[in-house]
Amino acid sequence: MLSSKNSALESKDNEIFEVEESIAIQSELIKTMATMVNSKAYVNERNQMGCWKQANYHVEQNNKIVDEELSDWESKFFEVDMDDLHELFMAANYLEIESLLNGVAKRVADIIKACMNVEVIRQTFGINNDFAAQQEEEIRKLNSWNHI
Amino acid sequence: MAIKCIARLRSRRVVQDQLQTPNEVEAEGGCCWANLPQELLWEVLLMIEETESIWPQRKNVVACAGVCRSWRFIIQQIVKLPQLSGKLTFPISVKQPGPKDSLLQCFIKRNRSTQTYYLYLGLTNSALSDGGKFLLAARKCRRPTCTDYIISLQAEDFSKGTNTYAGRLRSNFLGTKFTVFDGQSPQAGAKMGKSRSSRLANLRQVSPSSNYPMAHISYELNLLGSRGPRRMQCNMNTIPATSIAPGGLDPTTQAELNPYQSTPTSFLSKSASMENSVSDQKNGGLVLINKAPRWHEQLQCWCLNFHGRVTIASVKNFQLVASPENEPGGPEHEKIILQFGKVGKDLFTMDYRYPISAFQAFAICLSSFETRIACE
Repeated sequence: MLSSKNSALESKDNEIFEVEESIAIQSELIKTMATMVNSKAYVNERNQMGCWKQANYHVEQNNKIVDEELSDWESKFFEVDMDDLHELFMAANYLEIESLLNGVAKRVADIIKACMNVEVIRQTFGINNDFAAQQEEEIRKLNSWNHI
Repeated sequence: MAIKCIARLRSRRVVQDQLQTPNEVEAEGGCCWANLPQELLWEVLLMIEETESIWPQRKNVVACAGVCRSWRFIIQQIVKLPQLSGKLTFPISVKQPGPKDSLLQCFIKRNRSTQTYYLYLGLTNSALSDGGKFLLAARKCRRPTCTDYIISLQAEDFSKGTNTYAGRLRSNFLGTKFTVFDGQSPQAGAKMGKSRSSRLANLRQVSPSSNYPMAHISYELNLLGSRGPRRMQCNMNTIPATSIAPGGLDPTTQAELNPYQSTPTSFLSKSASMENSVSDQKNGGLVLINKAPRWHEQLQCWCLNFHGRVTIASVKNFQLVASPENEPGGPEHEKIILQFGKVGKDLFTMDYRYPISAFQAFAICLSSFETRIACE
């Protein structure tokens, strides 16, 4: 039986798990849906668990004002591969969990800053260079000025 | 806290249908950062722009602009003009007016053997010896009837035909009058930058192949002859005189994020010649003059208060303020717009602010090296 204080959530791959209500309503989406009955979140089980773990951490921290730097716990939490990070990002956006969104965005920003140059950014994120040839020449000169 | 599996909640199909569907890529099971929703990408890039505000970290903002078109578009929206943010980000920043609220501190290194000058943005709270962000370089070229300083965005490339050519300073034979030319890259004319100055009257776009005379500088002996400090006057063709007044016209042209493009415009109906300094004023161009030093009886020398930024006496040192003839009266004419002076054997500080740009400031300082008007 469903405990009155818990929400049951089903993930994309049909795993069902229970989340305490105070945690679940970190997600604006779930909060909205709390009065409705359904909640099939389109996120796979592993990352959805991840989302709730992070939301739980945030509640435990008593929803402190978000700092500029990720905390130690969050830094470890976000040490995932790029695929999982992407999915966490999309999940946080979909579930509307602000603290998680903030954390993932910071992690992504840190990854970008750690890249030495444009080429490394593209490789890390699997992004293609879609500049026209003329623009590409300008970008090349821009990068050259950047590194003097 | 343990997360336990439990019985499924009852669901209502109607409600489910009304829910937002996930991103299509997610549904396909693919991970694609290139398809990251714009609002998420925006958040990330905004974080980077806000935290990497000074050099050398600012290079990360520039790098993001070079990744792909969507990143470039977002960075272009996020990065503010130097006059608002006080930050220089892209090469085009050196041709945009400096901050309104404060002087931007730079320094110039001279290499006597190669007759080359290098302009750097000072790093916050660092000694000059710690280096700075390179902005522009200039090399002297003597010609039969004049002298040119070729100004470039690359430290060692002074060829005129390339994207790195920023402009030049030309001196007359006597070294008393100078013209600052704003260079144009061949492609620049083809791209029209978004222009905030469209409300100015008499706009004229310059053809891509010409060098546009954007300022005239003249040096004269003081009324005391060579016993007093020389007098400087700079007529800035592309800057309206009212720009220094609150609510005045803005010389900024918001160029596209083409790193080497500038579209200098003049609100004068025709370009001024070197001898036309008086008509420049009548037509409304900003006129800068050097602040008169005071004679210090005890030290027996002319003194200016450089607020610690200049430490070695030199005839080259100067401070420029707006001439009172631009707009009568007002405290605006006490505000230092450009300050230049010696701090070491081949090291000089250059501090500038709105409404002039780093390029214009650098060119004016170069004329101070070149002019032969001196005082005893």
